[in-house]
Amino acid sequence: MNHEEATRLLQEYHDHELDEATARAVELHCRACVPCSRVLESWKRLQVVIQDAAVADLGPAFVDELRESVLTDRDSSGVWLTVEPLARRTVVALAIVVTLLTSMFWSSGDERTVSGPHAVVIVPTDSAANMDLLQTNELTKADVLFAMLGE
Amino acid sequence: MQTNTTDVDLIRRFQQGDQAAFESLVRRYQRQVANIIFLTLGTRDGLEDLAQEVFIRVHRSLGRFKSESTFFSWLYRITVNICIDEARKRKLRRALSLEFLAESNSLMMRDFHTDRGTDDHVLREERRHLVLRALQRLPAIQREAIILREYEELSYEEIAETLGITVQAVKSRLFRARTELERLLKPYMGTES
Repeated sequence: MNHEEATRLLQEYHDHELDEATARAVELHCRACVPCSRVLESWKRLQVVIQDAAVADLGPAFVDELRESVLTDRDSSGVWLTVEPLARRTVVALAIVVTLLTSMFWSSGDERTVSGPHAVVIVPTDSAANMDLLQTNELTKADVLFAMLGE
Repeated sequence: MQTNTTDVDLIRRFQQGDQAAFESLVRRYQRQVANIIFLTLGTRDGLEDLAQEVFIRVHRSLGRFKSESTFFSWLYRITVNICIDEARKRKLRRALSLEFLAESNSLMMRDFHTDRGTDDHVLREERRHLVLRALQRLPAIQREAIILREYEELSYEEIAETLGITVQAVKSRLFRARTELERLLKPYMGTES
């Protein structure tokens, strides 16, 4: 294994993430390579000092105190936690019903009127329907002939 | 007593109403949680409160926990998130100036050269402070990765799962974190061997 390859794999070697054969090849390279062995040594020391700095622990009373906190938390949020799934489903169901009712209301009837002195008749415009109307109103030669005979 | 009981067993028992199973999980992981908080924030201030917050959140959600991910990666994710929120609140990065770190470094080196062997305990505490401060100088995403690797000794795969990133991103964050820590701790690291 050349130096470039070893450098690329050095971190994975240090973290024991390589398969046995590749790890062995990196190891052999590092035995003969001062820069690589220095990097490895530095990373090892880094791990030691980080682990050495991790001196925190929670006191023996932690679990007892936590038990109290959990009980308090459950009392304060217990009802909501129980209701939450049901409430969520109810809100979704209501939203669906309202949407359906609204769409049914707006689509029902061709005309809607507003009573009062300024009553307005709203006639929905529909381009396809208007095209049909135009086509049916178009006079044919027969229509003209019958009109002339009639006169 | 319950050392052979797996996390999955304890979770199942808790989901069937056994509160003692939850406490067993707490005892099993409380030290790790405490140290992730400690290394991430670099201080013991509020440590117990934050650890309580972690386990209260776990308690709230454990009933719905499904074993799609490992319990510890889920627990560490909660811990890391709480630490990130807390760090934001405290604005740690602003408080830790370059000058402060440089001062600690020089103080550290002086002690190392002159008082070696005279007061090991004090010296060791100083070194811990230095390491903790160096960790605080890292971007949060690098700090999370290096703590989970160097303290928890999680594999790349486990770190990726915990942090919700790719294995490639884990490698990259670890490498950058190591490079930066080496730079920050160079005087100390050089005299350690």
